[in-house]
Amino acid sequence: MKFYALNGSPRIKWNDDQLLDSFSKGIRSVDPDAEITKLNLYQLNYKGCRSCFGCKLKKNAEHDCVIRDDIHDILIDIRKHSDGFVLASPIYFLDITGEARCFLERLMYPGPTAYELPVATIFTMNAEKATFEKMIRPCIDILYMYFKANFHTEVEQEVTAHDTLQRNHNELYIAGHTDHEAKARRHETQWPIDLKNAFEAGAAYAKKAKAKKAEREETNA
Amino acid sequence: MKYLALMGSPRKHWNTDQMLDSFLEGIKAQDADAMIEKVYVYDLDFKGCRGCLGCNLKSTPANKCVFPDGAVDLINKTKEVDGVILASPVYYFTITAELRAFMERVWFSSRGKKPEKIIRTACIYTMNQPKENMEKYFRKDLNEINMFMKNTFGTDPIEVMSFDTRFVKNIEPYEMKQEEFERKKAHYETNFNDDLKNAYEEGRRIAQ
Repeated sequence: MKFYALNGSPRIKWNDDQLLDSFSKGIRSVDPDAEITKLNLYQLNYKGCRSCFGCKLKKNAEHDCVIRDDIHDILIDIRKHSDGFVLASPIYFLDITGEARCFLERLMYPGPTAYELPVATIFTMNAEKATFEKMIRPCIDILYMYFKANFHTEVEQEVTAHDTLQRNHNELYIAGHTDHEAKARRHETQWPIDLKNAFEAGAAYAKKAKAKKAEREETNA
Repeated sequence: MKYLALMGSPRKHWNTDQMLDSFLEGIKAQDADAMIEKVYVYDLDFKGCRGCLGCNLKSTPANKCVFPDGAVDLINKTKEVDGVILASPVYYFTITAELRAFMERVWFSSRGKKPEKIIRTACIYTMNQPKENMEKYFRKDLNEINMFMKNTFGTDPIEVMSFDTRFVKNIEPYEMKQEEFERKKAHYETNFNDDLKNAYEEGRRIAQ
């Protein structure tokens, strides 16, 4: 199977990146030959949707995005040739990152895909679980509503990591309101559990994607 | 008085841009000496906040983003002017992702500290949806943007909206519903001038 792993965090090798890699290992535990293309979105040169309506032109029968930049070919490959994608993003201001949203605008505006595209999500944040459910869940629900409309899928695998470690070398930074020492202590015990959760979600996701692919091939046969 | 206007739509000279220009005309009508800088956010070479935490270093003064790229000077300028105006269409229930990427850096780098002076704010939102759908589905999301503006700049934004905006002038090349196009065209012809006039009046108000 063929998947895309999208890192919507700017921080390479940090929390989202590590969870995404653990999720990918989970996929490979089910499908050792899975082709997983990992993309660090902040390393790519692209902008959000330009509302050029090129994808709505009658002469553009496939409704592909027409903006030629680093993600042009990737968008088409995800929408038409992949078995799904997993998106990881930290929560900034009650939402996923602007760069992750830029990517999704471009991925979704061309409209519904030709087949169900299984989607999984990974969110990391300062917020505790209860705060996440109260303050951030409504925004995630909207995202899932659009995933459903454009990729015909429910998001069944969602990994969330809370009160995550932000930094090392606390002595260099202003104190602020956050207890970074407590975060570091929590990280010691909680992070291995978060990584394990991501691995298991990856495995469960791969099983679902496999079943969907089999269904698709049966329909096509 | 100095104003910084951030044009957060990708479409130059279209609805959002026109609403913003009308608002800025209102400022000039009220205050002939106003100095206004308008920026097309999509023309800047930048990314959203990189989580580099440079703004939180003890060695960095408050309210400074330090990531060196095509947006950093403008991001820091938002804390130095007398008024900041956002203009954005609503995409998927909130402002454009590109404007959001820019504002992440404005909001994060304030690190909870308001600028030393009062900075006036305004948010101009244009949208495909009629007003009742905004109230029902994404009033909350726009309120959050307004709240982040207040948290950073210390003032409630003046809010200006235009609803049920048109997409294209000519439907012929596009796969779109004729009926919806006609309805939007009629709505545009009846309402958009009033929306521009309202933006102008609100522009006068921010400059009072």
